[in-house]
Amino acid sequence: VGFRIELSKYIEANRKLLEDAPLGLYSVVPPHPEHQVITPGVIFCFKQKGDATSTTVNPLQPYYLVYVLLDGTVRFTFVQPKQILEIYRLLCSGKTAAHEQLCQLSDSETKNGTDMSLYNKLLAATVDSIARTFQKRIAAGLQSGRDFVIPNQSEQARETTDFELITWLVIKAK
Amino acid sequence: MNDSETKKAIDASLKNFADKPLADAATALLESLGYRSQKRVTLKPNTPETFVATFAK
Repeated sequence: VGFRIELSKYIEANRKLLEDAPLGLYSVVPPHPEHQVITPGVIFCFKQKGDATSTTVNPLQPYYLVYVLLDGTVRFTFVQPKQILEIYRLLCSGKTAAHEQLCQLSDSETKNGTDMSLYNKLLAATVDSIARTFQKRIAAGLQSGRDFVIPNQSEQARETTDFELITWLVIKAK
Repeated sequence: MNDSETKKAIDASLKNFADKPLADAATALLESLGYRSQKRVTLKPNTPETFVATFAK
């Protein structure tokens, strides 16, 4: 509930800014010194294309939040949005300016955005993880009781599903 | 579809098992029996081992 209220207030206060923001906008932040669980990686926010509305597997459908580490390991997947939003809040809430030093480091590592191979790899690993997790959750749901309803194939996240990259947050050590 | 057509469809579906992939042939057979659904679980790789690992808990 806390998140919903906080997010609703933010949306109300920044509606125009959010509506005008381009897709794929990103930022770079350092890990949180007091939280060992937050290590370098990327938090991706995707939107599944199409008319997927079933929330039986993904509570945020059609949006997917995933926190992936630099080696491609998924630390928190889309069925753990609360943990990811908590990290987002810890790293970003109240910050009004970009972290210049990290942005410069990121620019130099990606050759001013022309070499995104590391992030492309992480994107691929993340989408693959989404597809695998989605199918695992369906299988688990089937065994959880008689009430579970499998989403239609067209609504399921699969390797071939199209996603839009809404935003991403790079967590980078100095 | 009348009874005769249904039986022909079932007959054709059964014959499909000879040369179609098992999953496709089985889906077609179920459809000819009147069971149609877009709800699927995709196993990757689609093997008995994955099936056991996924469901035998």
